[in-house]
Amino acid sequence: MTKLEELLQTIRDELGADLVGSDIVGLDGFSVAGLSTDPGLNREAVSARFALAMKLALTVSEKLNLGELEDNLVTADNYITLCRSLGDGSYFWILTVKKDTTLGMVRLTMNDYAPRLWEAIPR
Amino acid sequence: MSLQGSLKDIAVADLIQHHCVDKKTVWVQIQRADKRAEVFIREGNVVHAVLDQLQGEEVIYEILGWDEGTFYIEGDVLPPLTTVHRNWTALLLEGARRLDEQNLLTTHEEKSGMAKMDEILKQMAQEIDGFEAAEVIGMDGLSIAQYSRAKLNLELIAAQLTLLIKLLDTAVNKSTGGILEDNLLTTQLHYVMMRYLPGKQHYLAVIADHRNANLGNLRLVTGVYLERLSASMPK
Repeated sequence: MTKLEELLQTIRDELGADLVGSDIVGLDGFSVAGLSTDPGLNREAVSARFALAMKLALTVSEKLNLGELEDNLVTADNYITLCRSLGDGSYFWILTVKKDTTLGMVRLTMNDYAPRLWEAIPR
Repeated sequence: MSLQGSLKDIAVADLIQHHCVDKKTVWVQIQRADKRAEVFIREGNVVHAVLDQLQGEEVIYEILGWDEGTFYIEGDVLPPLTTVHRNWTALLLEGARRLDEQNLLTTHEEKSGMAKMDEILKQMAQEIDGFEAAEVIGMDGLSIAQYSRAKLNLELIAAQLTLLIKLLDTAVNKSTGGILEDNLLTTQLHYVMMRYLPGKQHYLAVIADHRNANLGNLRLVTGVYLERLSASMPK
């Protein structure tokens, strides 16, 4: 198990049953590491689609002078998906959790693990 | 003689006028969705009209506003009844007057609805810490109501955020099979909250200062005001 996979597993243990999926995705939309607790979740599609959305969010933030993008939180009727830029922005962390999750806790977890995940990405 | 066509090519008023000027006797059937109107013209005068339970002049006034549908005209069919007594020019003039009145009323209602939405946004601003701007934006990227405390290019914001919400909508739908409810973009300087109004033809976008805004308050207040905005949306 790689360092990255170990970290994702630790995050899964911390978030427990709330976690649905977690992926580290490059700007190309491919996941370099990830896991899911829901066999029905199409991780490939989540990675590719949300990477595209994050790229647009980056452009929109820049065009509107909103400042550097930190994260994007999507609430849908079934899941909540948080996307966060890692390090220099060449990777995203896409975390999908159940709708009734305590969002504040998830954001704290992301704040905590984002720098460690960035360091663990093989370069 | 029989003739058929679409109301996209010829207006109801022109259909009536054409046959009346030529002093024709015809039976005009007009279909729009599940409604079917019949108009009988005898020797250049409208003498009978029927639409569901409605008969007479009111039918003509109603169908003059139809701009979609199909028509079928059959010649030399005599009317079963006489329910219209005004001559055709007076009928069309009265119909035009009523349509103008209706359009004026709709425009006025739309304007007052939008002014009301601007006012609601202003009230909402008072309840959001760090509020900077809010807009109600259509899926065409055009804002229909807005209120801003900061110097922001609201047109550009509306256009850019619409691109984003559309892409996110597709991302959610195609990847998790869910339906997008709202989106929160967090940057170093701002929070940008986007929430659909019921029917998903418009959404509310709120921009707040990251340092002064409270995320929970932002989500709560926008949720409450969403319903008020939806209720005052021009129909």
